[in-house]
Amino acid sequence: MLSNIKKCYDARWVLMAFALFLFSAVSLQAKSAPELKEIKGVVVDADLNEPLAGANVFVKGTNVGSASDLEGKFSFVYNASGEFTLVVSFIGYKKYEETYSLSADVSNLVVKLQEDIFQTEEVVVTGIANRRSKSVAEVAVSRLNVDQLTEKADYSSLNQLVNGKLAGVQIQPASGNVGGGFRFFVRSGGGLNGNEQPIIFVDGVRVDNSQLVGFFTGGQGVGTLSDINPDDIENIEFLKGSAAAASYGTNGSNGVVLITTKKGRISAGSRGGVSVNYKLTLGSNEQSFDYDPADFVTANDANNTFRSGDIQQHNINISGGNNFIKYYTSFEKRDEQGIQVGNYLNRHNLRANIDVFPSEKLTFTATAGFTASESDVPQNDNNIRGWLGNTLLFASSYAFTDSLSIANLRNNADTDRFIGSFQASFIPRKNLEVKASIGVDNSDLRWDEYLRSDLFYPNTVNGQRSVWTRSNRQITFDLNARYSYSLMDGRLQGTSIVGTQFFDRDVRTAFFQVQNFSSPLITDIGAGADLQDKGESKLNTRDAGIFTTHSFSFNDTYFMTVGLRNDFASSVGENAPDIFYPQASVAMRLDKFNFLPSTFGLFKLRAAYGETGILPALVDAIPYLWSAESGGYGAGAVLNAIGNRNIEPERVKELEFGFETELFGNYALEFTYYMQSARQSIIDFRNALSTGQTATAVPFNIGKVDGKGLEALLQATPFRSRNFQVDLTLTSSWQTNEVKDLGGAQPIFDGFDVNVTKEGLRNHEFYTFDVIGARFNEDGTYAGSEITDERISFGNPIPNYTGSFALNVNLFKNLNVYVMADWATGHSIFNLTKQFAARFGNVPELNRLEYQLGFTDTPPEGEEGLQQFSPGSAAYKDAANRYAQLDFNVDGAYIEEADFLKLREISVSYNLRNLVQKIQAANFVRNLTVGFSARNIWTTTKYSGADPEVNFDGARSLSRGQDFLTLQNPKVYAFFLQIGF
Amino acid sequence: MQRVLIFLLVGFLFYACNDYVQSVDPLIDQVEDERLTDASQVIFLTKGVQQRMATTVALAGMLSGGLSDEMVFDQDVPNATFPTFREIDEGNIEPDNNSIDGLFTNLSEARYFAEDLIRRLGEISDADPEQEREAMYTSYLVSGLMRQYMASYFGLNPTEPGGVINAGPFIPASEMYNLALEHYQLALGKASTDDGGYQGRVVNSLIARVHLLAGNYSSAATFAENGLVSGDEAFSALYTTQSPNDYYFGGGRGRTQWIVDFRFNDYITADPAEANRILIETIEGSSGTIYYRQAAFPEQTSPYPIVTWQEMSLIIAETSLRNNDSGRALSAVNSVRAFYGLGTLSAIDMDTIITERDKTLFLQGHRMMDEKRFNQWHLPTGTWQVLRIGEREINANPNLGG
Repeated sequence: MLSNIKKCYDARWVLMAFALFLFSAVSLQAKSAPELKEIKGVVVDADLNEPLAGANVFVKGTNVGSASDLEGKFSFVYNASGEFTLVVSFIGYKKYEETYSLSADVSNLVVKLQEDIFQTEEVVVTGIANRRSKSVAEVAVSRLNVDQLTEKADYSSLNQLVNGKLAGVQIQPASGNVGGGFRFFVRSGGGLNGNEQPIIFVDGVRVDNSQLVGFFTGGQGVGTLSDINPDDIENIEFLKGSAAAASYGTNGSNGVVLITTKKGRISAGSRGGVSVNYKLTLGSNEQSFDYDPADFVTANDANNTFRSGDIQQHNINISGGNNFIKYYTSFEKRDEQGIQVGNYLNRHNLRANIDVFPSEKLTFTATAGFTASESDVPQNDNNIRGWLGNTLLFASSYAFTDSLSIANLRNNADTDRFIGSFQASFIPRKNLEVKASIGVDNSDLRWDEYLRSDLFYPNTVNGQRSVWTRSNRQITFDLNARYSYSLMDGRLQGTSIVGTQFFDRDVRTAFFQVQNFSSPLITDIGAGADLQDKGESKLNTRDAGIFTTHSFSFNDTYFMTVGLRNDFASSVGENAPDIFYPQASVAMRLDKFNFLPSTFGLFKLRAAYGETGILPALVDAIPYLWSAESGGYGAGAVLNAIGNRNIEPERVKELEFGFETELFGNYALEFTYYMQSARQSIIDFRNALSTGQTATAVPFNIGKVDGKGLEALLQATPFRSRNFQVDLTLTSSWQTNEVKDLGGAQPIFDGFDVNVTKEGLRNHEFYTFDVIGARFNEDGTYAGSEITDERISFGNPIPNYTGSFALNVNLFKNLNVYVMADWATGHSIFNLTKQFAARFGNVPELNRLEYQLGFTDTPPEGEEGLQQFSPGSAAYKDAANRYAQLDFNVDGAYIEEADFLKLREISVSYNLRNLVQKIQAANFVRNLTVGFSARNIWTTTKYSGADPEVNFDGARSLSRGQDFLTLQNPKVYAFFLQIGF
Repeated sequence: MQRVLIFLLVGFLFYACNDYVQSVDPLIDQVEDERLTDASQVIFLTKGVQQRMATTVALAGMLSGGLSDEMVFDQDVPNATFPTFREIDEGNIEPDNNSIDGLFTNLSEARYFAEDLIRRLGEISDADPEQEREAMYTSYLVSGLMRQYMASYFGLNPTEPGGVINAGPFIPASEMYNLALEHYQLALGKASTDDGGYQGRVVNSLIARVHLLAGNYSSAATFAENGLVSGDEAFSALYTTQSPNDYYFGGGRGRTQWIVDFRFNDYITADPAEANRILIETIEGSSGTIYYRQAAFPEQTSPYPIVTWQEMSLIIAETSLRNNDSGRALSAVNSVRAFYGLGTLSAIDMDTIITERDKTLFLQGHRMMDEKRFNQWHLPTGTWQVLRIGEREINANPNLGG
């Protein structure tokens, strides 16, 4: 299958031809005699009667329109040929839509917009090519209006934006590394396969969401999503499970994240339709947790490895346009140091987004984002060259590697990345829209490691140089047609969509590593005498699908959508030439009935069902693969992978129910209950070692896992007046899952043998042995710890309950205060740091006990008066039992509850615009805001370690919730200045 | 007509999608199994067998040396951190000891690669005869050697040596040695007569060792007499910096987790000429204590001797002494001593032979068996005297209750 020569005939071009055919075959509608209408008016807040600047005013079904100015006024000309519908939209307000006859006077309109607390009128994505307002959506949708967040705080990367803000979406950064990887956990985790990560689209381009680990740093890598500039993002939408993401088909079982970057817009008050915005951010990352000498003998040495990490960011964007073209361009430069030497991120981002409207029926959109980033990954985690590994394990610091060597070790990832798309949208008829888009995510990474030859490093002979290159190219192609129609005198509205989606990924890597340099003055790879390792790989995968969805609305009260998708992929076996995914959803607006009091502005019940899948790995369907291993005899054939030619995708089904309601006009509640069920999960059977066929485990479609959960969102604006507004947001989620079947396979453990996938337990559960107490010899002396015969459960590294509370207060329109706290309960973490420190004599309590129990005659330093206990005495027994509870040979003794509450974000900002505009010479300044934001500034947790949110082995490993000398997440302080012209 | 067109379009899309996803570039770093069953791949496959043998034997020597009293794990030595090594050193081996699993994996892979190559050669009709003979010789030798290692080093319980092949039942060492001999006999049949019959002498030497370990002293003597002789190169595993000798980063200059027992320094103190035979060097512990680590494999590329003529001489010495031929025993031992520039011995007994084996076969994977053969086990009763076959094997092997 894979050895086929790539065929010249490429189906993509056939599909392109199909697109062109659609464009050319549909005839343009004949026009009637037009009349030039001048449309003028003002947009105001319906409650406060205050002008709204920046509202988008346009004629429905066309690109003709304008934005309201600082006084809320708008004016434009429309060549009308009959009655037309005027649409006025503004973020945070319900959409205004009114139809006017040709003879109507539209020269003095007053458009009153109602605030949309719950964003019910906001158009959201409900499936591939399917967008509808939230008030009629049959699935739970989550949308984050990022531009509102970045206006009032500093965000380094995507995970900081999302963290704590969406019910049902958990984000866990693997460490406090600047530029490091993070992991999504969406709802109850979907199936057992696929790293539990959603697929991510940026402006329609499926982007790389890998965590890249080049050369050894202990466990952490670089997150590819760190390349994206948060200030360029307009909004992020989440389709959280199979019910919503079914139309995305294969790989959608952990949801779909749709990131939309900013578009060109004519800002209120801008001159000549052009606005320029500059944002300066200055800040620092700070150590958030101090190691205590009561916990580690060498705590102060560890604390001394931290520093203040400077943050500096410049962000400038230019936006504007007219009725023919709109553009948004930006440049970002961010320099950020981590809290330890050897960690920084230097990121440059360039973006240019253009919308062109050559006619009322045709729109071209081009987006282009280029990133040049450089990050240095510090040494920590499971690493004898790490800062914390050398200051927290032994009672004498830097036993493995001295500080000079660590400080001079370089592990540097340098990335150039382009994410761009081109989209054409054509409306040949009033009710038909055809869209075609092609997008590229192309990144080139070079990872350099350098260990100086004049410094000592374990496992290294006279220095080491390593280079890894990775070229990743992803092409996404979409084509779809959307047809809207009306039946039963307009009471039944229908929309049908048919489309296809193609995805091509090509990853090439190469690396080499040498040691033994004669001089630190010459460090090129050719100067290393000993070749340590080298290699190369190429992986080309494709998947494709065709889909159709049909949505119906009856009397604006009943809603239904049905859909199908058929997928094809390179990586499936002989039994699955194609994969079929259905979906169906319904909703009902109870507020349309009379029995509900008028206090309910909206009350919608909804239910949805959908299926998605997770593809096997590309080589899973190939029974045996051999590779070449170099050694003393040359390169020889060794078994490299064992597959199963019958492998199929895992299938994940989801059923969700929920409601949304809006009360008294200023309270809104959303609630969703979901059930997930994965079947045909791919379980890797490990052959017995004695077979010799153990290069990889063998995949079989035999696993089952069920999950369920609740999500609730409460939004409120209890106070709203001209000069004072309070907005509250409360999210709460609960989730759980249970592995139902492994098909007879043994439990699957992570590398440290504690996280398990086992029937009857939650996935990733901590499952290991525990200490019962001390055992005693006949003479009363300690005889070791008594350990459970069987493994037992110690909770889970993924919290059951998560929630957040956000408060936004706006005073006098110019002063804004924002606070957000989030929490997690039902959360456990494995404190490997303490376990290994205990093993190596760096835990003072254990050292004291060893003296008190008579294991050593030398009291710990500084505790010379410590009393030794007599065997058999009550004090001896107590000490022995405590000593047993700290048995470092028993993992269960070091798994801790780790529920936490974090004051995650605080910001205070003040807009000086009114002040500045009073100055004649500065009245061109449209916006001047100064502010301060802080992150992770306070934490309370049951966990005794540094940070309950980290994992030593990065963001993609089987290991979860294991803190092994892992860098804590820092406190972040930032001052920012925004100025707009 | 429109419906027909839509139907045709959808049908076309189905075809296009399926064609599209199958038209991917081939892998460049892996190849499907069936493509290797070809005459042109025989050398490539043979090298694979040798390579896996090399990654097995030095590791086996090191871990068995750690379990014996040859080497010691002490956390006072900088960079000695592996809990799995400590378990081995103390004989308190947990069922999830992944250091031992790693050796067991390599050993089983080497056996599988060898037998897989023999299977392929049966399906390849046009192989070059010399390449085929060399492949057969290598495969039979390695499949025999791995069985001997399995019998000598591993066990399911603390005191019963033996191993497992291909997820089968536990095979006690005595039976496994017989299986090793069967494979060695097949290797003998494929040994080259070139190079003065060196390949044949290598196999005879390995057969002699198996007989010695199995207690068949007469056969051991016979084969040792036909084994490697003074002047023959050791039959060694070869390494590169890409695939280094495990001693280098396990108990050597690259990283010192294992140190050698203090007695080896005592040997040199007692007779400085022993420094020619016992290659060690000092390393300072965190506490300031001076320890000794091996210098027999000073480089990553240092070859590891699988079998040597010195071992044959010592087998001849031992079997001769057991046969009450002390003169032959003495001359055999003295021939080895002379090679290292050591003075001749005038008398010999079994203790002397044990000591001579301890010194001569230093770090070559013999001490663990010798301790048991001569009832000199150094750890308390109840501890493991073999490398424990772990839960990864037991859980996946239905013949072991998995």
